Amino acid sequence: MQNLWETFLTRRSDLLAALGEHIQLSLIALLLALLIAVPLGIWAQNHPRFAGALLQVTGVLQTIPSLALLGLLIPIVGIGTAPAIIALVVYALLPIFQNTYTGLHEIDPAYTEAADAFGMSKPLKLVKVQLPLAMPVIIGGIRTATVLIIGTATLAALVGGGGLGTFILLGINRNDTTLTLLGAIAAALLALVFSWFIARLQKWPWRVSVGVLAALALAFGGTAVYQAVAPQPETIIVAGKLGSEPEILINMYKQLIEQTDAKVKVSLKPNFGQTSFLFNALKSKKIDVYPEFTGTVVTSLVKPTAKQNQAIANGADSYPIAEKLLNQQQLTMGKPMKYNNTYAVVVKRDFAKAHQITKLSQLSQFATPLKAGFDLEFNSRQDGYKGIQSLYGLTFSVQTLDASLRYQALDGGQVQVTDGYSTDSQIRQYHLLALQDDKHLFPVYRGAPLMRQDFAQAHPQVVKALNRLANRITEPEMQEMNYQVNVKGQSAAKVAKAYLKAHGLLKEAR
Amino acid sequence: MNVLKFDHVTKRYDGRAVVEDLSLTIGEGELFVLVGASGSGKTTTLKMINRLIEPTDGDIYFNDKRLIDTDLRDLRWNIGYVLQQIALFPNMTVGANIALIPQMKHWPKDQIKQRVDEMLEAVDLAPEKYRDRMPDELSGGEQQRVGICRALASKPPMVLMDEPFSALDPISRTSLQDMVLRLHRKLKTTIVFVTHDMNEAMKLGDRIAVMRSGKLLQVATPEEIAANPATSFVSDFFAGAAPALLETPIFELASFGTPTTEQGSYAEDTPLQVVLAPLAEGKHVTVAAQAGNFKLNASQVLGYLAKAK
Ligand SMILES: Nc1ncnc2c1ncn2[C@@H]1O[C@H](COP(=O)(O)OP(=O)(O)O)[C@@H](O)[C@H]1O
Ligand SMILES: [Mg+2]
Repeated sequence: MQNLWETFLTRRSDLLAALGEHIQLSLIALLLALLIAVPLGIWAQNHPRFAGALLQVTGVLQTIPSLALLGLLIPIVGIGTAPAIIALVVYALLPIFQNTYTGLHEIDPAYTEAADAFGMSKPLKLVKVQLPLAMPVIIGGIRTATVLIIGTATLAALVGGGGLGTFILLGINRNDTTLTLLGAIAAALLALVFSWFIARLQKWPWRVSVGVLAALALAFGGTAVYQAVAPQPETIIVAGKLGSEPEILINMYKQLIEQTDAKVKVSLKPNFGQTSFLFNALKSKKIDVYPEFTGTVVTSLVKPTAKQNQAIANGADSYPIAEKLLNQQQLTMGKPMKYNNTYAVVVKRDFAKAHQITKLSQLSQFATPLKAGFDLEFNSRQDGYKGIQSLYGLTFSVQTLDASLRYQALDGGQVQVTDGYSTDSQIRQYHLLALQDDKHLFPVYRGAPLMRQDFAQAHPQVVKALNRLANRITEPEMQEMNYQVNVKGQSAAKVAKAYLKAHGLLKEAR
Repeated sequence: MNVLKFDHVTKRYDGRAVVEDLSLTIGEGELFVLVGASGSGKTTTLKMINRLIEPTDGDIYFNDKRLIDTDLRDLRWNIGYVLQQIALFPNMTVGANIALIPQMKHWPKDQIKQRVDEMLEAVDLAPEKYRDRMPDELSGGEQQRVGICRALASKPPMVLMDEPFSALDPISRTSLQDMVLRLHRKLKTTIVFVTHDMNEAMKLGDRIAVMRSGKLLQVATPEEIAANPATSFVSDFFAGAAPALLETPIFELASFGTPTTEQGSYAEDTPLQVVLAPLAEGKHVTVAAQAGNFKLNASQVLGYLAKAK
């Protein structure tokens, strides 16, 4: 609880921004859904056969899993808020349409008969009699839709749509439940507030409700239009994957770029998504730069030849190979940084000292097998425990552990060896040591800014700024920075700035 | 002058006639009652007048013009409508409900306001007390008073009422019946009033049309009916009479009967109910009473029932 409160305090401006995005996303989706579903519900009154079909269609739409729907939308409308809003609208259609239709349908026929007998025109009957009488049911549908939208909008973070989902995803990614909880609580509270607000809406006179809705529509529509039309300074969009490390790096990028050209504005999209997602976003020009690893490029993003693969396996630098293959896709990578964020075999610092160990091969000195806690994937990978057995000739007494528990098990003494990533903040936190991979079993993962060639050509000063990080940042330095953000709760921007300053990469403020 | 004329009107649903070959005329200013058992086609007949239902065959004339040749909105603005379900719009105040049609007709605002108050006063509801209330704050009887105000507000030449009081308690029903008679005398509006209650028909109607299974059996004034009842009417009437009334000891009808020297076949404390069966068959009954024996026929019993309400 204490923890939650502290996280809230340090993160409150981020949370507020995410909340704003979440509200905007939800309101736009809700208004669009209203504009579609309410007229449809009214129209369906006189077309009962279509009403049945429409109910079926909207019902089927709602059964599409949200992730699948987002996945289907990305190739069509790209990433960002567009697919998120479309998906939300799709989900909101059913409850609003259904309740509008049944609400109108279930009005006591005596009222509509009276309205007819008094010579009311159809539009007048709708506005004066039918809609007001159906309003409680329609409002019920809108409330259901709203709660649904606000809940589902947390998935927008997966497609770069922002919102409170960024907190939830980040929490899951960093195994930090307080962050997840913060995002979830905020979303739940938002749903409650909205639901209450909409319930109030029907207590107000008809005209006031319409007025309020119109004002909201104008406010949000207006900002959207203004944003689209207003002239803007050149903005470079820098995105990052989930986690503290990419967030620190993109903050360095921003500071480096902005100091070279005061006219350029850098917009950051931290925790923007998974690898393939960012890669596609880059290619479709939704973003301009993101930090990527050379190892990831050659294993997942491009297709090296068998010869190239062999060379990499033999310990060749993957950067030139990655760059060459990326060029074929009109992409380019800046110069890589120093640290290698790859698999690491980790032991306690005390243990290493006591046995004078710094390298992985030195573990062969133990006669009885050491107790190791590996996560499932590492345990079964060729470039994991299998390779350790064959290349180093080492055998451990292995216990497979969930990734989140390994460090605690090591710290608590249940195991003596574990796997990790060489820049994990826990290495710093628990006073551990990542052993040197002296036989080059693990692939090299060096970070570098990835961008499109056309972008790089148009912005040589940006490329130059980014390359100031070439061969900078060691593994302990990265561990330390991750530790500052993950454990100490420092903002990524502050940690990034401190590093750049300390290493003379940042000119003093003008 | 005839305001309304049915000319061989038939309404069929899926081939089944629910109103069959109906011809009748209703004169200006008449309070015309359609009476008959449930399912006899009264509502169907009534709704054909304001074209909520279109006839399958035949024509209806309003002021000598065929209904289908009249503009639908004008027709409906000229024909008030009162429903059994009352159906005051629950989202509007009493005043707004009454003002509805005058508003649609674009009457000036202050004239509408004045008319609303006038109407409320006419049905014995204090305007300042009721004008701004919501319908659900009113009793059933009060609601139907407002329903009548709503139908009459724009001064239509004709008003249709479909069993307007059958959902009300007997006391409100009686006072609303009296109110309708009073309003009718004052406004001279033509009223077509549907009911299944024979007592109500006898009490209200200038003329009464008796319907059974979609057909018109008899159209006559209450006096004619009392003097010369068709047997079916008598049995319908007796069936519709209030149960308490039918418990009346027969000697109370002495003043309606004809004195006789014949021997009485019923004791004087026999309940009225017991003698209805022979009367409905057109026979008369003789009663042995201390004050002198007397004879009773159906018309005389009708006369009593019509008075007794
Ligand atoms: N829309 C309809 N479809 C089929 N039958 C109907 C319809 N409306 C009324 N009827 C039938 O017509 C007959 C007369 O109905 P109605 O005019 O409502 O009678 P009443 O008002 O005298 O009780 C009833 O048997 C009823 O079931
Ligand atoms: Mg009826």
